[in-house]
Order: sequence, then C-alpha cells, then structure tokens
Amino acid sequence: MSERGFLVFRRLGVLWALPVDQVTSLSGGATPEIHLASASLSADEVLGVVPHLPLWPAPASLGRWWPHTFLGFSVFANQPLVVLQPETLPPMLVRGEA
Amino acid sequence: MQEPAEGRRFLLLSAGDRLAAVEARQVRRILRELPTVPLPGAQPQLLGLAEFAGEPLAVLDLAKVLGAGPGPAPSFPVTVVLWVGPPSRREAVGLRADAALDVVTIPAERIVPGGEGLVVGEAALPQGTAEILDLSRLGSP
Repeated sequence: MSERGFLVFRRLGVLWALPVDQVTSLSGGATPEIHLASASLSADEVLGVVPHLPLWPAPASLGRWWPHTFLGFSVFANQPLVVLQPETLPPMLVRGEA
Repeated sequence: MQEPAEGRRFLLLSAGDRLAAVEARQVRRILRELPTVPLPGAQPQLLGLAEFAGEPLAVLDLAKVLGAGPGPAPSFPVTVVLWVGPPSRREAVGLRADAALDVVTIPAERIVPGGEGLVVGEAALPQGTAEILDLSRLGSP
C-alpha cells in the first residue's frame, strides 16, 4: 500500500488509482499523461491525490471475466474505482499498448 | 449445514427467457438495479462495477451468465447482492436480473442434477423450469 496516497484518474469511463509514490511525473494537455518508472498511461481526467483509499481485495470470482491483476477495488466520491498495481497494468491503459 | 426436510429455500430470478434460482441464504440484499460502470475488456458476463453501501461491488449479468435469449422488457430490474465463494473466502457479488420473482422451497428430489458453469441442476416449478445456480463455484477458476 502507498503511504503517500493515490493518484486518482479517469480513463475509458472508469476511475482508476495508482500509488502516488510510483508516479514519476505528470504532463498536462488535452490528454494528460501519467508517467511511471516502467510505463506511461493516458488519462481522460486527473482528479487528484487522495491520502487514503480503503481497499477491498480483488474478488477471486472476477478473474474469469476480467483477467487482470490489480490491487483491489475502492470507492471514491461514491463511485467504484480500480486500484492498479504498477507492475501489472492492464494493457488498455498503457500508452502504446492499447 | 443440514438440509431441512422440506428442502432448501431459493430466490427465483428471471433473466431474458430463463429462470434461475439462487440459495436464499446467500442473498444479502435485493435492490432496484444499481448503475454500473463497465470495465474495459471485460467478458460480457461481467456487467461492471457498482457502489453499494459505500463499498465497491462487481456486478454480473445473469442473462449473460445463463446464455439467455431475449425476454419481455423488464419493468423492475434488480441487482441482487449475494455472498459467494467458499465459506472461508466469501465475498459480495452483484447479480443483475430482470426481476426477483419469489422465494420458493425446492426439495432436493425435485432438482435434476446437470448443467455447466454455475448451473448445477434444474427444477420444474409452477413458474417454469428454473436453473439452479451454485454460486460457491464463482470463486473457483
């Protein structure tokens, strides 16, 4: 878990979060970019950094229908959110792999 | 848990042109259909994510899970919040259905074993033939 909080962003109609200590830089523009050590992601909107997100583990029941590895789910502003694991980003979020 | 002599109680759901029965003891709540956010790249059985009582909830589409054909337009679609998976690792999952019809008691001898995936059998009921779902299988690969 991140001790410095989570960067929350929207992409493909979904809210996602990344441990902010894994984010190396952000670039603005019409399509903001989020840079990590190993990959870059595009965002439709960066909502900001939240200091804490309650985390619900990824349900085992989900794997057969959404086979991605992630840290778990959470809720932000009454909306469900996927908390990503920087080492195993879903390809559709990674620039150059969509 | 020992089965009562008169049979187990099931919640009867409709989805498209099919009926399904889930064990009533697994039902946590029945709600008017929750809005969901689709997860990109998900299989059609996974409708998306919803927020329920401040918690994230993955919601399955019962019609897609059953492979149901189209049915009458639903007038009161529901999201049933269920406890699923083995008792040691139970988790909440939502199931979107066209309607929650009834709670019925089905004696074991009226369930004809068979089916695949989550379907473990079927039972002839006054409402029609219902497919019996075993949601403990959801946690299995």
